Amino acid sequence: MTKARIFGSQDVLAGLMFILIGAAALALSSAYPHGTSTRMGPGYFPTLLGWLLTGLGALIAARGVLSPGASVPGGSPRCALVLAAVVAFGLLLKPAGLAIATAVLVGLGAVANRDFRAIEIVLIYLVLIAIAIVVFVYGVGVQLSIGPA
Amino acid sequence: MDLFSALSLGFGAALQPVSLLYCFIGVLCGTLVGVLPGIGPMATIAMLLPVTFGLDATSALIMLAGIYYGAQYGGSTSAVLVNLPGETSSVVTCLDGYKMARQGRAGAALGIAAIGSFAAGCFGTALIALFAPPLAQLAIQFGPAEYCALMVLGLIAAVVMAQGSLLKAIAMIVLGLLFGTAGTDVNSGYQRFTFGLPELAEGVDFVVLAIGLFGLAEIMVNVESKEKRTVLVNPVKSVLPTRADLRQSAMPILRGTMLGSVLGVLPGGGALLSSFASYTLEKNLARDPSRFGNGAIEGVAGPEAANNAGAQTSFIPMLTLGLPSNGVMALMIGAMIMQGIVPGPQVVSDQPRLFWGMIASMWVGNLMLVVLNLPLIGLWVKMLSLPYRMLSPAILLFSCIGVYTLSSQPFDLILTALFGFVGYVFIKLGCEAAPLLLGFVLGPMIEENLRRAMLMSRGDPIIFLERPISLGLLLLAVALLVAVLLPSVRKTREEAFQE
Repeated sequence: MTKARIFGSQDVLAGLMFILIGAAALALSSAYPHGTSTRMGPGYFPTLLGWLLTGLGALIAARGVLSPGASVPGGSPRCALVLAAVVAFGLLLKPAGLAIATAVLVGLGAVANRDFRAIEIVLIYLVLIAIAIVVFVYGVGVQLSIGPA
Repeated sequence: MDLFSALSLGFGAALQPVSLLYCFIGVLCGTLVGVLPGIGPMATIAMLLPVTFGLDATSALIMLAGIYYGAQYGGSTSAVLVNLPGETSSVVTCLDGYKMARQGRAGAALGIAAIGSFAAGCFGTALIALFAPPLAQLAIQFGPAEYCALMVLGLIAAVVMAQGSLLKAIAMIVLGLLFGTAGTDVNSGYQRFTFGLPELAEGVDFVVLAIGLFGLAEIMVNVESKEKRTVLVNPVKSVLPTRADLRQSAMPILRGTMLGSVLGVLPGGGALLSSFASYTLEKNLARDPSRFGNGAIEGVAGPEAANNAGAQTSFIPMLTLGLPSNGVMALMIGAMIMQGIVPGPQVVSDQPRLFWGMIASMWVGNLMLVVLNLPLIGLWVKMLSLPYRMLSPAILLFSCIGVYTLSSQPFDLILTALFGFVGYVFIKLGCEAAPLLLGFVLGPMIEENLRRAMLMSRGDPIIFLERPISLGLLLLAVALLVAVLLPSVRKTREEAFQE
């Protein structure tokens, strides 16, 4: 059992994640009035959950150290483009309008795929923007400007 | 209200042109996402939730329900034709369905899948109509302590029955409960976990969480993996099974329906477990088990009937107790809350039109699905040749517009991206996200009932053990946990999911 296997183990890392979140929850909710068990304050339930989560995280991590099990599969930086597409769309939608925001979203979202073709992206964009305008702007009546504000 | 007048009220609501339209849209979307691998009913329902704001509650829920059971039909199409399960519940259908297609019997496989699904869907719906009202009657007498115990049991049962690591699933539930506490506390007006952001004052929006964890995270994992699809070139001729096929399938369909109906009611059961169990049952009952895996029609008929029956009866705990038994039901509860309906046993008596309308619409929807699936099979096959790289921008765009319509704030989209990242990390760490959603939905209800129960008992937790119903429910939860931790049971559980 090597160190690398322990540090790459799904269980160890997941356990650490739960411990971290649980500890953060405990730290944050210590600032809220705790109350008594009869009259529970806003801090009571989150504190309870924080302890539970930390404990469960410790159990999971401990199990992972004893038998590492499956390791975390590798990722690809490509998937960050998907998130970038969503954030860009959110930031652009109001100032630049639906047409431009969608172009950026479709562009980034399509490039995130392993194999993409420029001509296809243009076609997908045209189809999608047409659907978006017909269904959402005219159909559902979402308040959106199509061009730049 | 007797069953007859209740059903006529339901059909009155479900046969309205508007209801028919939304039912149709629902089952159409469901079939489509069921056929397409890479997008499931979870992501689709999350994506369409914002659109349902403008609808009345009955239409909204009819449509969302249609997506779920429609996806069970669609999933079998891609399983048979491409050997790719469009939905996880049709994994088993691949085994014999695809073999049948290779032998030139794709039509018979698809036909029997549709017939089995229809029979099971109708039966499952009838069970909801028969058993939901008395169950709700019983649950309506529950006090806060009983309710708390019931929700704990529901959550525990949901993870025990589900796949994967038990400890991680429980941790995910607790994490979901924690996420559910974010925002303004209803009792004290105190802001919790808002980090001073006014956008978080009302807590994390359900749609934002669901689209991030399921929609975005799914896309992120999909763009990483290599696409492999081999569309069957043989055109599908007749979808009508022969007389011999029907005779061979009748009993498996019947058994699958029974099995699926029972397993569907259990939390965490639903469609997936039902189809696995039915396949195992048919294989064990067969005179010649070696035929299974080589194109046995019983291996398609049984599981397909079971997954549809299970999908249908998994509505029972959701409608009668307000208890979600799987991720999709958690989304349905979220949709109800957004419509201003408090989920719980009172829905049956307070919202008869909604409740019976939904049930009646399931019959209508199942009928629509047979019509959609059999003659239009060619169209669905064509959809299958659409590569994922053309699909993902569409899913992204509709998800983003959906999130934006919530409050027209860029903040919501940034939060969605954040949850997308979180969901991606969960997948990489082998943590299933559905239990988190169950916890998130039930969190506020558990906290409120816990608070009330403790107030009643003056802070003594013994109240949960003094009341017979609450004690029974909690003992059942403990028994479930202990049972799963026993080595022998654990081994069979792992084997059952491995098959």
